[in-house]
Amino acid sequence: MTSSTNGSTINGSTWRRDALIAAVALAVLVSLPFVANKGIVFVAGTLALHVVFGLSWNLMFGQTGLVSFGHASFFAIGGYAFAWTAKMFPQLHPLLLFAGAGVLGALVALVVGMIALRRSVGVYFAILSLALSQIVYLLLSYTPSLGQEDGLTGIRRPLLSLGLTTIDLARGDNYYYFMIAMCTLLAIGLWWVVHGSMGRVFKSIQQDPERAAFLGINVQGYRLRSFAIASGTTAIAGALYGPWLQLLTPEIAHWTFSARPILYTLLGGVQSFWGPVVGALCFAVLEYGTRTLHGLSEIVVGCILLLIVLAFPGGLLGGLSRLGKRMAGKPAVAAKPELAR
Amino acid sequence: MTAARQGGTPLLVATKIVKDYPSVKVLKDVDVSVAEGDTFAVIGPNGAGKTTLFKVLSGEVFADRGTVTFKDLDVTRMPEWKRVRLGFGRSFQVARVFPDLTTDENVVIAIEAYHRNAGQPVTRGLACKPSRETRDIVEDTLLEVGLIDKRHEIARLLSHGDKKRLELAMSLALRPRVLMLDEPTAGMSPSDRRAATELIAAIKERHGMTIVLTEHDMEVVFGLASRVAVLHQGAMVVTGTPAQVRDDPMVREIYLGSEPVHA
Repeated sequence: MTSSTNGSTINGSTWRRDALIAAVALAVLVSLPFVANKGIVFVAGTLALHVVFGLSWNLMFGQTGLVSFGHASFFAIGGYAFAWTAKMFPQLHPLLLFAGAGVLGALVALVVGMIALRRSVGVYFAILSLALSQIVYLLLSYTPSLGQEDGLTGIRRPLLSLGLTTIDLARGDNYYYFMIAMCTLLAIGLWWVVHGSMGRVFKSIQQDPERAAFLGINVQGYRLRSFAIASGTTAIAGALYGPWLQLLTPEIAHWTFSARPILYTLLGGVQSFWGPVVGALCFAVLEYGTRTLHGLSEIVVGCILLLIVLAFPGGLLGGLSRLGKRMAGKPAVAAKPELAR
Repeated sequence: MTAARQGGTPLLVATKIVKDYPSVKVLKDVDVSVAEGDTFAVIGPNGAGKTTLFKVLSGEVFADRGTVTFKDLDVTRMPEWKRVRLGFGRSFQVARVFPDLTTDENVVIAIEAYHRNAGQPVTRGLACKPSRETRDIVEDTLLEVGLIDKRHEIARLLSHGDKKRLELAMSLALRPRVLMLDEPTAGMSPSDRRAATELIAAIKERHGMTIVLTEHDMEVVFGLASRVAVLHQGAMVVTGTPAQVRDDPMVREIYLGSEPVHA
């Protein structure tokens, strides 16, 4: 049985393909510390977090039709929640703290969503989410116990006790591996949501919310779920970020950071699950490749992004799939990323 | 006016429905009583308020005044998705399907929605794939509406008539007690129209649900309906059997002014 989009797989072949892609990506990430320098390992670890950030944003946008301009606020909420609680309650198990950060992100999304999603979708929701991120940014910048504009420094990589053994995540590349493992689990979770029956409900809402309501689907309830899942996942990614950088500043709640997952998704492709992954990878490569061009880096990255988006309106993966269809002799159907109605 | 009921108990009843849009009164004290098992057609010239009445009955908009009851339950202010869970199913004047998904994916979503609404498990355990049962129902439903050969096609690329069939399949997947069809043959060629009429009649025959429809084409109306209601300038003028309505002098007058009743 064929599948029109990633979002609603009916057959089993997609998971085999996706598992293969994931296995190759994992193999590369795991072997990286053995073959590459510290700088590249750092970029790869950060990329893993950004991949989760992008995937969770696209759960809302590509899958449910919700545009958020303030997704970074949840990254920041998770990051600060973990760093602060780890400092205040060092006796608590770090996994509990990571989970707690995720739950907090999801809860904030539920509360905000209950108000913001009541009547407003589309651009209104986008603006409300932007407002939320600015509030979070200002709160972080003015709260003395969170370090105000200087942020939190000296965030420690915790000891991870796993019953029989204890791993010191501060040693060597341990934290890198831990992050890769966590991000893999989060990505698998998102994959499962997107491809399962809940994902099909989300997709129906993205396609036509009114039609979905006439199937007995509680559209607002499912939008809220999508928002909460995406936010909770992002909050865990944010929680992982603090110990990775050992520093957090309010900049991670800034709207420019919220633009990241949007860029990844549009660059890689909205319609594919892997779109934000490809987008984040491209972005990381571009940033790394232009890091020595002081002052010029942003201009070069910006121009290349502009070119890609103009050449491939459906993102890189959308362009590839059209190319593949054309080579196979099938009529090309342009991907139409639609903003939420 | 409401004519005497024939047979079945009232299933969907609207009483004294008033609906105003800014500067225009669309529905003026409209009464509708649809009995279980009826095929109830609402006809009337353009602008008579048919679509608005349809929206009020299905829950897409709420009435300003008046009540709507379904199985003796007041649903006047109940949103559409809750009404669907009670047993409503509807199609739209311009067929609405999930355009970027395939035909069978559209139906899967509807069937899973039905199972979820009924509190039944949707997929087995942690599986992503629709259950065997769901896939069987997809096949049955697509066979029934004649879309089995187009099950893998992207819905957006289907013809107008096929989109209407797909919409019907999605509504059927909900196993509705009342199926509401808003101009089921609008924009179709005469042959498609005949096919659609036959399909609706066959569905009615097989499932026996109550049908409420609006329609412009009188051939379709008189071919399907067991009861017909005529709406004119926002008021219900006549309700009766097709024969009663056809012979009603007032109906003749309304239609002679705009379009003749030919059946």
